Amino acid sequence: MAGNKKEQQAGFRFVELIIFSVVFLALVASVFVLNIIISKDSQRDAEQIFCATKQSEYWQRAYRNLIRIQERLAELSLIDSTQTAQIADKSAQLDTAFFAYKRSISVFDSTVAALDAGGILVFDGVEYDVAPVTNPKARSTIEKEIQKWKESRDILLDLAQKTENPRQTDPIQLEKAIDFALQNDELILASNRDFIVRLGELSTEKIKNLQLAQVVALVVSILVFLGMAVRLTISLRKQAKIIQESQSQLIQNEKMASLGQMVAGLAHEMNTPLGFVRNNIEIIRENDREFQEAVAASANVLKSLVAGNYNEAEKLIPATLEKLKNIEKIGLIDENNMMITNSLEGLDRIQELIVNLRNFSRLDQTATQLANINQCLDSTLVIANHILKRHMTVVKDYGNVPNIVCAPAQLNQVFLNIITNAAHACEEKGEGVLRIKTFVEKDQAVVQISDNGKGIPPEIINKIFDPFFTTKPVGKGTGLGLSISKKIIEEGHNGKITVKSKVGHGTDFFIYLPMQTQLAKEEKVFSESAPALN
Amino acid sequence: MAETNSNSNINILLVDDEPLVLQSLSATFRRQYNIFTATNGKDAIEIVRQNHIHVVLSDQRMPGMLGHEVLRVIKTISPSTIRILLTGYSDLDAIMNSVNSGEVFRFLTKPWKIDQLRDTVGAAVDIAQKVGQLYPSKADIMRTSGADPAEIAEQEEEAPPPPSGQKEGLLIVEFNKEQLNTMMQVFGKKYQVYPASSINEAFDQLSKHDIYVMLTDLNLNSEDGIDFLHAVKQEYPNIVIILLTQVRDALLAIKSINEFQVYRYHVKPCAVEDLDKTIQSAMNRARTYRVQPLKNVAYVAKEVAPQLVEKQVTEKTNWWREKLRAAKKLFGR
Repeated sequence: MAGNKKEQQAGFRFVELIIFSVVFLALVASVFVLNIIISKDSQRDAEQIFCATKQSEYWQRAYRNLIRIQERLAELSLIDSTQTAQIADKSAQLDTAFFAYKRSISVFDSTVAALDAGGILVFDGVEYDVAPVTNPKARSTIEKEIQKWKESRDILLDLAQKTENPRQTDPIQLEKAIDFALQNDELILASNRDFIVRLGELSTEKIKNLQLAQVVALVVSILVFLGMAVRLTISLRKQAKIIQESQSQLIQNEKMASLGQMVAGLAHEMNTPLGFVRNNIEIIRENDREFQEAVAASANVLKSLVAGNYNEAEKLIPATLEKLKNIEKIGLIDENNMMITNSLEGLDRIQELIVNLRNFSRLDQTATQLANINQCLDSTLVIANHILKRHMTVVKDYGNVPNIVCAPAQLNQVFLNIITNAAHACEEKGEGVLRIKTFVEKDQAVVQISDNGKGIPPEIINKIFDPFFTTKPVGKGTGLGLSISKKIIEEGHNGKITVKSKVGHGTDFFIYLPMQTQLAKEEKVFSESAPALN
Repeated sequence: MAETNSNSNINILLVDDEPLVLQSLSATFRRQYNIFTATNGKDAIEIVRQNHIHVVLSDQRMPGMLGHEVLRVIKTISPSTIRILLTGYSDLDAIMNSVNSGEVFRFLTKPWKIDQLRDTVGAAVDIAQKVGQLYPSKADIMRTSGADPAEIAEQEEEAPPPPSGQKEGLLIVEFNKEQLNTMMQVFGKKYQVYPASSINEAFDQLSKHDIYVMLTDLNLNSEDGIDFLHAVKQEYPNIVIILLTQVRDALLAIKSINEFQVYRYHVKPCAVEDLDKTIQSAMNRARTYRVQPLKNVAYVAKEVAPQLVEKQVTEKTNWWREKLRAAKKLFGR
């Protein structure tokens, strides 16, 4: 059930992560798309502006040439036909103006059409695909111009196109065209100017909007990113908490397991003295009954003698003597003495066990204290006796190790763990030797716990300190013993635990503990710097 | 190894690695019996080889050989020796092992009570004297041949051949009907199987049929089951009881030995072949009991040491016993 829930949670987290990433990517992508759209818009605007500029230019050209055509026509009408040279000169000028006008006005027309409805313009061999002006604001600036042009464009275009010979230009048409030009020159130029200005304004507005959109998108994506980060952090924390909880649960289990081990050991060790002490006391009580009988009989004899009742005494004496003899014969006094001595020894043993229990668990002392490693090992050996008793010979090789600052109860847990493993390693063999050596090396106290059991195969020796690694069958070991031991030694004591093993020959565990021989004390008397007293 | 003198001709052997326990136990019994003591299995076995030992009382946890191993060897050397194991409750595996290799007459748990200890040893002595008639010379043969006891494999005494023409009765008590049917199919060919899915059905079958072996999954955690089995063993000591249960429980195993001398203790699920083998050897045992009741410790105990048996009896057991007796009379068996 719990596992399922965890899986579900993990699934949720996964989905959440995907959603966050999708949102983030969509924001980034939308900014890009916006950019592309706007840049296309800008390109279109630029083309329209180009178109409008060209329109103005060609309008002015057309206008100028129109005026020139009129002037030349007027001049030509004034010159008499004899002055052929002058006529030719003016005709040429008229022709030039006429053709310039013709071209200019048609270009102008196409630019107006292009702005109105779209179209392709060619200038200097380059094609410009001008889009129709759709923006109402921009359109309003040129709407009037287009309208005017549409009304009168036939006049101005016909003027240039209907006639092959500029000199035969219809003066009425020309008059009309000039009229239009004069009336609308201002309008056309102003419209174009306004249009360009409006487009500029519009594009500034667009750029502003784009910037705003970009900023908004950036802010939103930062927010999304932050949200994602926060969510992930929270869920990681949660996960870490769950892991920590389950870990502490397991550590608790392991603690309970080692407690169980200790209790089993203790129960077994106590059962034996308890058994014989109880038995002895029952025997003493039985014997005591016989003593009492003998004492009572003797008392009766004495009473009779004191009272001078010799006949009575004589009658009682044989039975009493028999009782006394019997006590002597069976050796009841010796037996009782022995039973009492043995019982006292049994009680001493129980007491010793209790002391050892205290030494082992140190529940009544501070966790960290100055302690003797050798004593710790001894009390652990008592607790482990029931595991070792059957098949292990214990060889102690204790060196002169000064008391060091440590957490003895935790160290005992480590020792018990390694000793238990050693006993298990020798189980198949049927008998084994557990060698415990302590010595000082440089600035470290070293405990070496060796067995001559089956050893640890090289392929798993790197894993033995890993949590949950166990070679024992399911339910027999938590696989946490050594990992907790490592934690106790390395994190709790700043020490080191190493292992050497040879399959078939045995295993050596080395525990290195720093030789800190003084408890960290508050050396200073005063909490602040010493005040000057004089 | 020590020997104290007493006028008695009963020899009991005490084995414990703790000398103070030996002294205490010696003091308990020295006035009634000859006491031999040993502090380890090897010495104990040597003593059994050299002497006719009626009862051996051994501690379970000792350096070297464990108590039940010592008893196993002693059983092969001297089958008439009644074996008692002194144990703490923590020795689950040892207890299960010793149940299933049948070395133990009774378990005593530490710390013991002196009255209980004396009663048990006393009953064991009575039984040993009775059983001893059966094996007058075997111990002597073993003693002189001097074979290494450790090498002697546990051997089933030769059982009389199965009765020809008829199948032996096998009573299977199983609450789960499905499992009951499965077992009936498996064992139906070899034996006359009588199924029962409740204590009452088992009672009916027991009353009406001739049962050799009883394979039972009584829920022994309820006192009912234990009481019933106890009563059955009292009234039909020749029925060999095999337990098939789901729990490995030392207390239960101890009870099943002490109260109804269970033959084997199987933990479910177990292999069909194993169960079949067990039933087969239980059948052999049951036939032996019918021919030579003296080989049946439970029977002898009932005959020579009723006081020990009666002490364990509960009201419920007596109620079942009455019922069983009445049924016996009714069906004339």
